[in-house]
Amino acid sequence: MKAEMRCDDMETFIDLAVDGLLPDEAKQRLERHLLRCGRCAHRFKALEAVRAMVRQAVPRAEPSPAYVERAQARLQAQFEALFPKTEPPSPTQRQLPFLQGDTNTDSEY
Amino acid sequence: MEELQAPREGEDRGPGSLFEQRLVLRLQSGSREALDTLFEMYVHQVYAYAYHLLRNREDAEEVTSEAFLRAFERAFSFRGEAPFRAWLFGIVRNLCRDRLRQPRLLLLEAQDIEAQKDCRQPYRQVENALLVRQALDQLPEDQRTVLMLCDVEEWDAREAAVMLGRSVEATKSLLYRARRSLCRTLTAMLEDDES
Repeated sequence: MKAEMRCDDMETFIDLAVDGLLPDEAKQRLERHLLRCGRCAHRFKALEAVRAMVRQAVPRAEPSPAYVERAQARLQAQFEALFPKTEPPSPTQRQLPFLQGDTNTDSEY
Repeated sequence: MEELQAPREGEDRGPGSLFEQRLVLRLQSGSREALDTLFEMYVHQVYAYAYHLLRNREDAEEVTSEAFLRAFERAFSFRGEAPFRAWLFGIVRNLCRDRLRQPRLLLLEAQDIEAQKDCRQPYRQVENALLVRQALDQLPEDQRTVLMLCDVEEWDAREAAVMLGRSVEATKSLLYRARRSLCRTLTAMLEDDES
């Protein structure tokens, strides 16, 4: 037979139960306590209500589509500035290093 | 390139997922597509969080833009030890704090008022929502933040812990303390209201 729990010990149980994280055995002990203790039962109900109310009371603010477009364009411009697009070298450019300073290549063949 | 970025069939693409990790690696190697995808994934959440802290559309927009620019510039220093979202929100939080330190006019946003006075909501619900908002405003910033992350945005306590720079246990403890504070504040407000 487990010792009866005091209200102070119930605080953590209540917190975990509100989040649905209380293991089964502990949940049963909490339920037994709540049946006998109006104060803890009230505390439990109030915390459950508060958790639900916060979600309802704080609507998610949405950015305007125009802002999202502007912000993304600005970010892309910043990106382009840091990583400028480099064109692949043309076939002529690719040959230049070999040609530079070597005007007599024909004579080697 | 696109094939690498696209999530595999049925693959989780949430915070801390392998998909997100691949995106961040690609961002670090200079992929604009990765940057665009991360922006699209998180711009709405970042804006909502900034707005929640600043209560002003213009400020929230500026902070959101700044946060993405900063995250992009600092992407190379991100080592992937925590989910990217928690790291990004840490940047947002710091930017909001800097902004709140600046002298500013506190204006009640039209959007805020409209959201609360939505005529489709029953009167009592609107009244409750306003009371909860007022009670939230009375909480310390860390308590408001943890409620916003865990109870509104439904973040996992582990991710919220990373963003808040606390242990998971300390974060849960903060969350439970915040709920109890809010409960006490609301009760006091309702009692004042009745008397």
